[in-house]
Amino acid sequence: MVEATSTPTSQPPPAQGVAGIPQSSQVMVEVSGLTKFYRDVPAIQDVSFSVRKGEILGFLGPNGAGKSTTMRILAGCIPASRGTAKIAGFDVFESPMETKRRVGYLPEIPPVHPDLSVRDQLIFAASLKGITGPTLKDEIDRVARRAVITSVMDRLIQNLSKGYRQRVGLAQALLGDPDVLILDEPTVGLDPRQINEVRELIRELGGHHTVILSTHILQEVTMTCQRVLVVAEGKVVADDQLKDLTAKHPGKSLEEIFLHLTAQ
Amino acid sequence: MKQVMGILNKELKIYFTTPVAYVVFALFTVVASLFFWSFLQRFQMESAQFLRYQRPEMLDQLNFNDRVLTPLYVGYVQIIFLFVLPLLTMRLIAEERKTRTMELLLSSPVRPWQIILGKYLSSVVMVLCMGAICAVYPLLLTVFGAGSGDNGPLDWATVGMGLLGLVLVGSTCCAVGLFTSSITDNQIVAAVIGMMALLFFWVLRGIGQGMEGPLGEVLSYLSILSHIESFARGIFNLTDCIYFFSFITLALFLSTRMVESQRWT
Repeated sequence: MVEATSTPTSQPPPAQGVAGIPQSSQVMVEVSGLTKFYRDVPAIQDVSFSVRKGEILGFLGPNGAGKSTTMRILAGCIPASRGTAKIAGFDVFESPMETKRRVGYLPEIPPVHPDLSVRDQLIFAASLKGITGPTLKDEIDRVARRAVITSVMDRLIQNLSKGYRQRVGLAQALLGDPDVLILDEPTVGLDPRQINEVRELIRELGGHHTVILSTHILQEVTMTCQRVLVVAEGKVVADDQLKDLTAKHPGKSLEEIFLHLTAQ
Repeated sequence: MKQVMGILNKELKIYFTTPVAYVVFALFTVVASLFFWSFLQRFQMESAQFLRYQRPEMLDQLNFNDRVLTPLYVGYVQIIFLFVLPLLTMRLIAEERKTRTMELLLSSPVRPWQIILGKYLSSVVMVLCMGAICAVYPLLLTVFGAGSGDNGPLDWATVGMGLLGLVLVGSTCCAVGLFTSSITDNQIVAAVIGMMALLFFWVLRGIGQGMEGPLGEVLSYLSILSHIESFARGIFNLTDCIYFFSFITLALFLSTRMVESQRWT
């Protein structure tokens, strides 16, 4: 039980730390009526939510609930069957270049090339975002420090552990300082210490960046997010501030609430 | 353009950090050199025969350009390309799909044509390297006194045209290979379909010539074989260059559509 290590001490929830961050009312991500069919099978149905600038939204749900599908649509990898998704006011389908410039995306499987060194991978990813020339080195140093991968920069990615690959993927998503970060299960495969580091990092990123983070680990939500969106079988079953959600179900732990919501 | 260069750089790094480039270049050098050596042997035999039978007029016609370099460049090397280049290009898109690294490209502010162009140019660089390997043979002939004997000096213009033809055919093979890589996520399938498609465009002339009427003419016009002869003769033929460029453009256009289709469906 990896999460158990961090439970008792960190229970005075992050809500405090987070409440201090001034939140703008500007909507960064707006999703309405989003539906995606894979052939005839609906992966998500009528998903609607919006995220304000600087907010950290936890996307919670059992495996196969449609978390990744929603995130892939937001990142512009796949189109929606119905509905719209907007980032900073731009539609992801109509003006993909505008939205992609503002998004850093870490998919479920970090998209890194095993045959490249970490540095080369980051140089490549930076070039895709149009970062070259004199700013390139500084930017790579910055994200490498943030993701704590400075010690492995010249190693081939194929020789790295899963945790490091995950962090290379995270560093890659941070390149160019995007407004919106979409992180699909960013702590999978990390050891407890790394999990804490990444959660800490995500908390720091909030306020400045808008973060959407998917997970099926409940602890992660309590530790990093202010707001939680619970999805089950492709539908949104709860969209609340974390403290409101627990207030609505008095006497229940988050786990019980989660099981209750997703069972419907 | 930054994006195209970034993709080109990455593909070249992968070619050269993995054994792929070295294995391909080594095999290519061995096979091409074997052809070169056997043509040279035949050349020597022929000149010895003409000398023995005292046929100086035949001896005059014998030269390295026609008997050694041209059959090598516009013939045999292209057959190597037919099989080797689909193996080089098979990973370009199929592998990215399989390992899900495509998601980085798809979620970055890069247009599909930039992805295709960057990847295509990386394979063209590989072809240029093989062209450079082939350029060593005429240099060898010169160094070992080809120009000084009875056979006359090498005609470098013809050599250049042969090399140009070789690079154009290689670039065409790459474009076809890239397209077949874009239609599947299985590299082996991509390579096999690529070879089959290229073979088809090779034998099309034979099929076309066997047919009567305009259909036969069209088919043989479409064949790659019909467009390399001018290069073999050392003539710059604009029509043939246009043929290769349109072939390449069409293949790249179709590959772009394949990448785009992933975004729409």
